[in-house]
Amino acid sequence: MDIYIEFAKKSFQRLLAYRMSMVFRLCGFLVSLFVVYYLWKAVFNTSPTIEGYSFKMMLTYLVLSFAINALYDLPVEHALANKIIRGEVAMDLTKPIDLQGIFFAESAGTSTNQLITYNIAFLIITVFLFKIKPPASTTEFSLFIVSLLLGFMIMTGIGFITGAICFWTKDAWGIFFVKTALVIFFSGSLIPLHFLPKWLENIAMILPFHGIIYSPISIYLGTISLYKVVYLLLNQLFWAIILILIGRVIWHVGIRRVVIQGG
Amino acid sequence: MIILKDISKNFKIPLKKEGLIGAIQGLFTRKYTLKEAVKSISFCIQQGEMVGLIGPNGAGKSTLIKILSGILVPDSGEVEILGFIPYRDRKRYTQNIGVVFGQRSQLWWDLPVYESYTLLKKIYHIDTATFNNRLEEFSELLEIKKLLRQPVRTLSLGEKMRCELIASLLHNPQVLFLDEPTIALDIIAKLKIRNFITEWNKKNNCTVILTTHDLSDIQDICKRIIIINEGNIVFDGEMDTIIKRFSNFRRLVVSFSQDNISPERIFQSFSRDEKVSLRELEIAKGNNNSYLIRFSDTNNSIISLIDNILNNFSVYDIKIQEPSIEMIIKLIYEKKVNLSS
Repeated sequence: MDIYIEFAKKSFQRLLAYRMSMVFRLCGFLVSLFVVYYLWKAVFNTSPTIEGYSFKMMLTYLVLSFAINALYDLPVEHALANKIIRGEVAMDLTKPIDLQGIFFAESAGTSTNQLITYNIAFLIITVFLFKIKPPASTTEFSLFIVSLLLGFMIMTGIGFITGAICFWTKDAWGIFFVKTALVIFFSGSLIPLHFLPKWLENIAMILPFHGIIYSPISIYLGTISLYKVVYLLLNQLFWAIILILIGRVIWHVGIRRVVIQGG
Repeated sequence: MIILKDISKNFKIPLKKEGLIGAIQGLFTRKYTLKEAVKSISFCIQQGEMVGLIGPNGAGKSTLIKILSGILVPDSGEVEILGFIPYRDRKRYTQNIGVVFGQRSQLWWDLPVYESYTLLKKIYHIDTATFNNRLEEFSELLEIKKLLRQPVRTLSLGEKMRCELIASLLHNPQVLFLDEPTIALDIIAKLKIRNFITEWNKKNNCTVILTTHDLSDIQDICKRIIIINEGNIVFDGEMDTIIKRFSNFRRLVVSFSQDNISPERIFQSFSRDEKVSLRELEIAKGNNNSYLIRFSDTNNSIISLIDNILNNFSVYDIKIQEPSIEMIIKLIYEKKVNLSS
């Protein structure tokens, strides 16, 4: 186990070297947040609540969505894809380590880094600027944290699968583009999923992506019944396990296909 | 103990057509060529042996070493090392081996060398006392003590290779695989690494398998040599056999510092020396004022040849050229050399 903690620590440290890039990212997120802020402000001008959301709740949703997204915009999966494409994965295969485990550890390290360096700054600024809604209660807040952790497992599970698919595609661009598009749309990053037409919402709730953004934020806002909260958490747990297993299978089939360039 | 039986490995290589139209065609239909990198290779290596795997570029030796180290899965055949099947029992098997690939790094690029070692300590579950002792001993022997705190990216090629070697040995593996470990290193760096490997092999009775395309790399340190060409074993036996049989194909390259030299004049100078048999000499003009002399070691001692030349001419430089691996393979194929002793 301590090897995974060691890898998490190392990737945590590594990100600290890029402080300037953090500042730029923060500015970028704030600018985009202002854009959607004015967009939704215009929408809410026509009616005080939409689909059960007040403007303040919508704003809270967006701020949290941006904050969660920032946790995941990470170099770990690109590093994995590049290792596979360039054949550097060969060196890792000569070590008695579980590369999926290492991948999760490194993602946890970078996400924690993002959380304490960048997210806290982001939340302080946005809470001050937009006065977002506090969590419904301490129970809801702790369930939100649990849901967030499960969301991390889902997102990282998807990231690992995306990287491992590069054993076949030999290129990262296309597969990462597809992944990002699916995650942005079906996780509810841009719009709460129940704002969508019923049939589209149903599809979104069948797919695993809603566990990344929509589930934790719905729990935070306290708009859903306790029964629904338990359902969402179990659904997240189910997908986390399934995605990790799918990742393992793809990885084990993939490494049998390793072709190493250069003799 | 390493056992290989009829191991084969093919690669499918996509054929790309030329130009834009070719690239668009490639989107719909793709043709592959099959490259047989390793063709039905079998051999057995005992614990503690030090074996040189040699062949020209693209002979299949890297593919073979990647099968041995558990990275590649062979298409057919059986492989068993230390009681494990490398590609199947990868996690338990790799606990017992060390790997250095001259063209790839196992150190973490942006971390100081020492931090890479502490990660490896965790990976292999090495206890702290053993780890400190080994690191102390290795860094002393390979003179890298002052490099330990430097990030890997700031090291020179030779320094990096020495650090890689230590990384592969910290967990005291039973088998060590070295794929072109001295590629692109200067002679001093090569020697340091060679001496270290030999010492270490003697002390720990660890099996060492080393690939190279340069015979001189391994002739001092490997007793056994396996020559590979186009995926086949061309020779598997004692290094001494190769050295003896092919010493006949050494050449003397002499650069003269005087003019009016011709092959005839060199021949004439030898005719006065009864130790030299003219029949087995071949002399050809090289570039500038240098001449290549091919001689047979059985009848002509190299010392008397050099003696003779130095006494009769004014000479600027003398080199002894060993036959290259390509030449050795060619000679074996043409059956010009009898290898059965």
